[in-house]
Amino acid sequence: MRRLLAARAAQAVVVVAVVATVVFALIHLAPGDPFGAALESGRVSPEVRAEWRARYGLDRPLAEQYVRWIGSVARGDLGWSFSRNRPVAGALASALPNTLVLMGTALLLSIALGIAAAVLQAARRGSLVDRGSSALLLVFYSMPEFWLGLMLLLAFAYELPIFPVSGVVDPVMHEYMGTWGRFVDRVRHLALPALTLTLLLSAAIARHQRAALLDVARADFTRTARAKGLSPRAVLLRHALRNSLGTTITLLGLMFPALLGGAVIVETVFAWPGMGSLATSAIAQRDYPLVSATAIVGAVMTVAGSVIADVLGATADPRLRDA
Amino acid sequence: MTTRRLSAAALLLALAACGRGDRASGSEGDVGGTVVISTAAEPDFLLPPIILSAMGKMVSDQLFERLAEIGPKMNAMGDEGFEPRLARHWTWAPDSLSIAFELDPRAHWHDGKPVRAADVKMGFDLMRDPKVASPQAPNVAEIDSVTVRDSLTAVAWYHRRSLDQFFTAAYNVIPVPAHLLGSVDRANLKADPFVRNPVGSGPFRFVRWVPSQLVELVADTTYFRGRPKLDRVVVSIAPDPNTAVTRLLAGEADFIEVLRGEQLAQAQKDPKLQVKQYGGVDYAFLQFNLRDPKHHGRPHPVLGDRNVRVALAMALDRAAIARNVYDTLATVPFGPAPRSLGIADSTIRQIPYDSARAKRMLDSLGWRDSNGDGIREKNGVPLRFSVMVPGSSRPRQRVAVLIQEQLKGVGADVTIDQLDFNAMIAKLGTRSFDALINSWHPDPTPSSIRQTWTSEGSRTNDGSNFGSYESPVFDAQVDSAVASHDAKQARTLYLRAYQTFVDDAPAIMLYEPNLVAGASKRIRLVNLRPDAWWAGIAQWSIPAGERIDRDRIGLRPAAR
Amino acid sequence: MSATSGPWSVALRRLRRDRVAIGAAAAIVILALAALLAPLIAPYPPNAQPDIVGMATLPPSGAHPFGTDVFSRDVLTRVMYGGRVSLGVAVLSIALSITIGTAYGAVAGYVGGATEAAMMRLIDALLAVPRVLLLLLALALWGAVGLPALILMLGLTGWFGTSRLVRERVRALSRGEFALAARALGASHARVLWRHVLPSALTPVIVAATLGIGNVVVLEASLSYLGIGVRPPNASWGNIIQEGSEQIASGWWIALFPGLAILVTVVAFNLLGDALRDALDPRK
Repeated sequence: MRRLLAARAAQAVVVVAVVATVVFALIHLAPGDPFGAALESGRVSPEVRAEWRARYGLDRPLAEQYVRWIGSVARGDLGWSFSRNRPVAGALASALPNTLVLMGTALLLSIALGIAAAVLQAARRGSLVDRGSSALLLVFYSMPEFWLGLMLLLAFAYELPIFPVSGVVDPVMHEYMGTWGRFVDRVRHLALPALTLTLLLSAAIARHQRAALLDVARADFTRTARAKGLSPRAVLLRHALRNSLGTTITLLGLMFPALLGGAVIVETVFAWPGMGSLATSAIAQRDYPLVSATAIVGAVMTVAGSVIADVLGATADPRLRDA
Repeated sequence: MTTRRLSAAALLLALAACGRGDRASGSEGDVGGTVVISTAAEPDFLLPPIILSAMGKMVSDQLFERLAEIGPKMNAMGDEGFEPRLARHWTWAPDSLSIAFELDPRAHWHDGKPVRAADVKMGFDLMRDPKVASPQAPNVAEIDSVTVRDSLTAVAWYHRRSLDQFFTAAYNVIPVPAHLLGSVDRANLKADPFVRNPVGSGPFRFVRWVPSQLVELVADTTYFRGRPKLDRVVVSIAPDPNTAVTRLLAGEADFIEVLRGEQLAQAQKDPKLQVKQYGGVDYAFLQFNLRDPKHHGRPHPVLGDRNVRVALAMALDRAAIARNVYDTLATVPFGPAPRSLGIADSTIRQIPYDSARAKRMLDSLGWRDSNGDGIREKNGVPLRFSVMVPGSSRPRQRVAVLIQEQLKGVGADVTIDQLDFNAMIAKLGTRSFDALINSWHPDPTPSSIRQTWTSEGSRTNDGSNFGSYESPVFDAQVDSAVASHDAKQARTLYLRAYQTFVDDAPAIMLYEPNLVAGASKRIRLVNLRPDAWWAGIAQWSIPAGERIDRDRIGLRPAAR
Repeated sequence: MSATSGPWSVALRRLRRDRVAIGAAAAIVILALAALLAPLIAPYPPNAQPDIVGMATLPPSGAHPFGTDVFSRDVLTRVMYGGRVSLGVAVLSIALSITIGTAYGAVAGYVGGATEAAMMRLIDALLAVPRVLLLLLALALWGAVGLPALILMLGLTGWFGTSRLVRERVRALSRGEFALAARALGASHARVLWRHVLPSALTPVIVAATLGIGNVVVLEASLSYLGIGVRPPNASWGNIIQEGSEQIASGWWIALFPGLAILVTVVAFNLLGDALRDALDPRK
């Protein structure tokens, strides 16, 4: 297990370095100055402009800029955000928890929902319930995130105004609420964006888990268990489920980037001030230090997600432990 | 002109204000409550001399008091109708080339320091200093200097007499705290902490500004003219205009400055909401860059030709465009000034909508579609340009698509460049664009046209004549109108200038909306002025019987 | 291609008996025809604004089965034209990413050793970047890009998974008896890879591509929804929805119909992909 962790950690560093390089290359390959909007503005005097160029080393050769930039990122210095007028790290620190809450909630709910649906389907394979729910799950699985988000918004914020339209908390009242009030406020705001992600993610999990369960059901050890006199349902729950969990966890590790991408779009639909909104607004405002930082944090999150999935998968499935 | 004294009516008003001020603070009667203003626009800065955005102005007007406030009749000529604010009293010099403002000794900054004449001077100096590059510098061009006569008397000195010289000093020069801004780096004023965390002198104090989320203000209970009725004003910043309106409809916000189309209809049906029409001074237009965006020394290859611009104007059915976007709530402007200023009228000759004539005109100018791709060319240059629109304005995006299709009908190819507001400002600053759909929200004086359309605004680094329209005729007409002492004569001269503008078509006027605000019914709205709906916020109130949770917070700060 | 005719003819026979697969294929054909033939069969020109005052935002009717949008344009026509862009972008970018992915995976799998390890580590890293974020970054940095650039970017960011699939198959096949025999008979590496290994390695790629088209349709729609995909006045399903999302209360039809078009397309491609995978599964 320790060897696995060390190997994955080394891999993670490589991944993040590659991402940082790709981001650097993209920004410098793109037309215009990396700090274009701020530097080109007629409102910034030529002297200030020159000073900024020097401060950010934009007057140096590209290779030197690259080494410098990687160095400062490695030291944890992410720079200054022009659009927010604050350190990049501060902007990230206020956005990251929101995204983690949204993704975490969606992940937990969809694992529970997805596996429950899969077990139900596998237990009654071929029945009307199985086929009906499979079709429904396929529809959710095929839906664009923003479209589902819009439809939920239309239904539960406009037509039946049960949930707030946007944001993490009530912009005005939250600061003045008691502990319980604050909790309820947060849950109400979380409901629709989390539901959007959950529906999409649980459809993917259920489809995969159902197939995995049926695969395991055909395997030798399940047949043995059945031969020992256990009921089909007990076999499914006790043996097949446990043995197929590993694949679902691995699946989640692989799906993590897509989940993060989905979160970016869902955050935009619901004006959820997380990493996705931060990234889209940073890109729109050409705030390059912030843009690169969000991309790097996104990569770190993805890598962390896949490491966690590997470790959990190895715990759930002993066969993977030495892989 | 001889020395003028404060009018009796204004004096009465001042006394009434003192009477209000003596009332104890607390949440009784109609004192108290929170108003959440929903918007999709974030303030740019909160220090008057460097503000460019309307939302920045709205917030800073609550924080910073003027010398005098324009009256309900919105008269900007002379000092008639002006109500005292920081200045309790003003005296014209016999030659009218200077006005002495005597400050109210009770006025104080929110940090407790009294407001002094040096603060008036600081407000003016920051606007004038080229290092600050204030976008409002042209607004105070008539003033030569502001001097300190004694600690409570500031004197504004003018280059020459003009009809709106009083307005220029009393309304446009906003005193700022000299004791806090004395040692700032003026070249980097925009990076100074003060501009995001200001100390003002107005009815509300600054509490906090959480970027892209909110700006919170709370009543200054020690405000010298009597505390505002509301406890708190929160500007809630939505990521897009749609969300901003939805917040009002969902009850998360109490006020939005403009509703239109289906959302207006929805608000009218909602028993918890009221809608209020208040005119407005905004006018929107399609502005052309007359200079080549790549080589500023040369005219624009397509739009530099006045005849091309006139033909393009002829190809646009502007009445239909206004109707599509605003239904019946907008009209096509007569000229580069809104009707509400009371000058522009139907005597101005317009370029008619006639697409057949537009085509003939382009043909005769040598713009012909010789390669059959539907787009005209002349000497190998296609009749093509891009139009910038801010991503934050849905009406303007919609107008862009309407214009695109109508111009395609006469063989002109328009690409739409939808930009973030900041990115757009940057492009405007360097004049690197072909055309844009923009709107102005002018001051209540016709002379503000200098900042936006004369050569003065195009030469200044920060002037707002982004299209570089530089017509000596127009400039001279505006100058003589501004310098005129006679209201009637001034009007004639302005009309002449507007006519020149319309004929030259440096911009095509599109619509001036008749704005409709939406608000929660519990709020008693006062004085939604066409040029500044926020002018009366300090008098808005919420009756005790209609309050909801957020009205009962009181004055206490957020528990954090 | 005698090596592949076996599994493919079996698969085809199986597919012809699969009613779901036939239904899905029919839906795809109908959508594709509607898109391809749009200039011939669409009731109106796609960008014409016949009457921006009198005909804006009309609900579905006989003359306009999907209603009109705020610019008085016919939504049905725009959904048909939007399909050209949405489906065209998806098919072309998938073709591009399959080509790159197959070439990369085949080389990696065939050469093996340290080169293969390095090549695959790079793929791991690239797979770790959320694709939407990468596209968002690239598209926004370049400003308004045309359709070819959009296709290129979607294609360039979509081949990592394919290369993994191909490399696994190629690795297994190139060490199989068949390839060894061919090498022993004197065939060159390129010939072995091209003639003997790739054809059978492509089976999973075809399935992945079918499933991938749905993904790209959704991705393009999402980008257009964010305002950085297909630019107005060109219609794509994504930007029709974006325009419609502002009218959602009074003009629900504007966002609904292109959304349904996306949904039907993606469901159909997913069903077809699943059916194809089952049909090609030798275990059955």
